[in-house]
Amino acid sequence: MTVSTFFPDASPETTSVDGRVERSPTPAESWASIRDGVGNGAGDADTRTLIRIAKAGAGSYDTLARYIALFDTSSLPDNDTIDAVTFEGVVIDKSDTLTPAGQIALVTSTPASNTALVTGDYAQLGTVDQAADVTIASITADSATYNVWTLNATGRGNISNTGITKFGLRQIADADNVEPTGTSGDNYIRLANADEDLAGDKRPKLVVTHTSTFTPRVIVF
Amino acid sequence: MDFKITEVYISSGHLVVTAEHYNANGSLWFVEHYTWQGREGLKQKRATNALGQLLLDDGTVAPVAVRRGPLDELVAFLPPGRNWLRQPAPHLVDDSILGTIRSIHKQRLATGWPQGKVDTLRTFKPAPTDHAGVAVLLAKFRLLVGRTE
Repeated sequence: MTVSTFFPDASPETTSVDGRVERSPTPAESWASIRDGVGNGAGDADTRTLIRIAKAGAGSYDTLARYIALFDTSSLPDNDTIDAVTFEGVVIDKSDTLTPAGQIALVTSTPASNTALVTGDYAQLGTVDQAADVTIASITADSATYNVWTLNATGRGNISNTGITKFGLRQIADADNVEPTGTSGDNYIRLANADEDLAGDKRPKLVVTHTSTFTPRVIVF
Repeated sequence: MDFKITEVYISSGHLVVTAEHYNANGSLWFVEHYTWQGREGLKQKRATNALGQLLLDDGTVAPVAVRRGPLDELVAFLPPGRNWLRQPAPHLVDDSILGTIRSIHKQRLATGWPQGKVDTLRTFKPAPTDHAGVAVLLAKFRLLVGRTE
């Protein structure tokens, strides 16, 4: 076995970006409009990113924010089996006041560029879980502890050993298109980015456990 | 003792840290190779002053702007033609390495792991930046050999 760790690039990126894509309309708008509308904000040099649904009133939303993270895993040996993968991130603070309670889903992403994020990338996150969802309630938000998403078979299958592995985080209500109930609330986690400014090294990371495929050789005398 | 780092070396543009993991009774559990891309030796964190404010390449504090929203955020930005001041050492620190080894130990305790499992490190496919940065990593982390937790 070998355990290999990968990080997105900080700005300026050379192979693999991370950062936020969001829609923050004024005035607030309906669930369908904010979830399926075009993005109006993006950033790939921030120190942290909100993954967020902010509800201003009944049926009225003023922010939906998603996170995109790319990892250059092209150096992984050819033909290695991917045995286990975790996406790990440090959270600075959180809120969980919507109904139902928030969960964060790891999904795939397909930004237009590997080295920059634009508002159009707001629509470039998938909806299929690549790992078990993590409840906001269970997330440690202390600016130090890594929170772990353990990838499922689908997620492990999306690790590229020839190019860039592309994931993202979004609220499960956003991924599943299930509008929160209640009149107002704010579900978010604030995640440290590759450009983080916390003590030590708190960058998001992808930890890949892989095994070489045994190739039997027969020697005939 | 959960683990001991036995080797730190370079292989195909990657920093390799080999660790022996131990059972609770002190016997050898498994040996694992941990790798980081050599390019990490070229990545330096943005520098801040004592107040935690991001600095520009001339040592002045970066300008900030308020990003409006339900949660207003103060965000530093880079003026045109300027660069960030960077810390001299790589962003990767001792705890980046120790934390990963620690985490794998805990995960495998929770999920179970075969006794004595070991594998040969295979050849990675490094980028030129991996070759360019890996010596910096080796110089910084070779002193981890013998480290135990």
